[in-house]
Amino acid sequence: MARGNRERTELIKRLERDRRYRRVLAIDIVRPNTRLTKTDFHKIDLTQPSADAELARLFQSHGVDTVVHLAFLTHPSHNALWAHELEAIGTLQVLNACAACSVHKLVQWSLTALFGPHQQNSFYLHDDDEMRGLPGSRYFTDKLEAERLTRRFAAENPSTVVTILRTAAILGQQVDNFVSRYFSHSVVPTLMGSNPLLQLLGEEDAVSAFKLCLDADYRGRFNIAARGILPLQTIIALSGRLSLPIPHLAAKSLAQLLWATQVVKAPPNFLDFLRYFCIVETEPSLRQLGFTPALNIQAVVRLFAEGTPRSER
Amino acid sequence: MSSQPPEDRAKPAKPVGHASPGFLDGASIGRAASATIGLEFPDDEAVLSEHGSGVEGGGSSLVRALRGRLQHTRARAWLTALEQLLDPAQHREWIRRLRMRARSEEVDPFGLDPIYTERQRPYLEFLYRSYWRIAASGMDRVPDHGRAIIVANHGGVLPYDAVMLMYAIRYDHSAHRTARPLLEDAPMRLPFLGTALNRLGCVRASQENATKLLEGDRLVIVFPEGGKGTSKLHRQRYQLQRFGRGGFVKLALRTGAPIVPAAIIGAEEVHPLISKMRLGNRSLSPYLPITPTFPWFGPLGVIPFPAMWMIRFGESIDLRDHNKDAARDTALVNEVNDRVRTQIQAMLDDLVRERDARER
Repeated sequence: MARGNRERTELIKRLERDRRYRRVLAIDIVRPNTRLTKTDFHKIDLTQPSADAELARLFQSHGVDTVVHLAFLTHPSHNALWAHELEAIGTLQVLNACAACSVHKLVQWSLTALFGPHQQNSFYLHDDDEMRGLPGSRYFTDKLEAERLTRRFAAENPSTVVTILRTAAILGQQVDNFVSRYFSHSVVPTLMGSNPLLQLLGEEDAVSAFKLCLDADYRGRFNIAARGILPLQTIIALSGRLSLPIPHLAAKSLAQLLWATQVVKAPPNFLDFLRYFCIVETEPSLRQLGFTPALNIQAVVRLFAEGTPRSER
Repeated sequence: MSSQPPEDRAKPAKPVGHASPGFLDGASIGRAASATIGLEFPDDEAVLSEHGSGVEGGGSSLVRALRGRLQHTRARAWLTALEQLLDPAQHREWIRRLRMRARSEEVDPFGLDPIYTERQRPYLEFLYRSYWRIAASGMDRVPDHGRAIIVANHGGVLPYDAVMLMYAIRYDHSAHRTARPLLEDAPMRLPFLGTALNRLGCVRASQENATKLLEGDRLVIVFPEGGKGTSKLHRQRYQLQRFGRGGFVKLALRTGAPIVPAAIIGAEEVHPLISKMRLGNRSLSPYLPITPTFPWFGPLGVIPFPAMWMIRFGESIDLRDHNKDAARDTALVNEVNDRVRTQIQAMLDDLVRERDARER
């Protein structure tokens, strides 16, 4: 069963194709946009106070053994209260339902960006490093809280296999998140003189990683990114776009204005992502999962650049 | 949303054209449509022209409409050329080629860009050979392969010494190795300079970065004086500051890398610091440097002084006899730290004397 955003549809498609899965429940507030044969759609709003009871009832009646929790926002929201209800409290609701029905497995989506862009970051952060998020960003605070809750749940419910998949920024022709929006501007704004290194992940590989964690049991937290790192400017150049370097002092107020007027989908403190890198170690995770992303970072950028511009869709 | 049964979208022929209007979820409809296009229509241009007369396709659809009315072959050829000119994919390809000339498609795991480095070589070569007339000695003490830590003195406000040391080992050493300098936060944080330094191979100094570099059997350059070294006043030149907290000794003990001491003279004179002005806002630089030329001559004041440089590598220190737990033995760490510091100070004094004798 899957819940959430765009990656959900792809995952459901793959589960539909795989004969090993007898039945899939899609729980969301909008119906997934694909043909469903063995997938039942149920509408449950995680921001409602009674969502955990509803979920538990549903899990019980269908004998659900595996839960994929993808109900996270791909863009920061202006409505911070609602976002908190959905991401942090929503996760709590899912965890409560999982605990009540003692499901066999829970796979949760998280981001490597939760380590946060910081000047002090070393290369290849790993689990011993603190997940600092982005100070003052509700978007990351909520996601961090969701991950903390799930880690606590994993400690309290050893019978449930808990997998946390942290993906690097997912880029592809079909995904829509704040990173893909940023890179699809025809002139990409950057910070003058800053050119941080980035990790990316192809959309197909992201779905494959989730499918892998459904097919077999993997306990723990795994960082997934395509092989290689690239400077921001190289990514923009490779995708055939121009960049517009903006001086630091002007950038802050400009970003503030664009966020307040809802022209851009990222708040001003996300500028740190254009300044400092946040690169995680993927080697141990990929080895444990026995997973190799099909696309390296150059291929991810190329494939993304070949896609139709968003304006034509 | 739910008024449209999902089966409808999976039908092959018609939906592409008519599915677009009236949907909530624009992006994913486009996806469903494009998936169908790939499978069902070998000639997707025809489909796109009726489907995607969107913002960017405006010019080309005009061309297509014109072409339908033109019989003359030459005019049609012109139109094809025009169409290519208007094609946004073609524009992106041009931009890509133009912008990728100065950078590589692949950087190494710590951010070094080979093409960028190669393009900077003539400038660095000018500084190394002509401007500072750098004479390097004891180069054979830098190992040809395997991990090693080069420990050097630090000075000159901006990390010229790191770049020149890197240049010396890359082009004057028999094995042409790429040494990776570990630099303090201040230069790495500066806009433009920090990025350029990273693309050239410098890495922010931290135990984690250093350990990872050494585990990859790389050559690492450390400046244990750190920011205290670069911010030395001119009258303090060639007087080694405190050598950190012995981080490089612990590193050597943990990774089994030999320590190669290096002394650099000249770097501490390229920007003779008269005084340091404390700044209220320390986000960019911890202090404002005052030199005989800066800030008085504005941008011209940043031109470094053409001092004569000398680099010398000393006898290396091998700590592999100690076991890994020795890194926690503070007495040992301090002892080695002191030994390296004394050795470098002695080399510095020798070099200064030699240079003075030569100039006389």
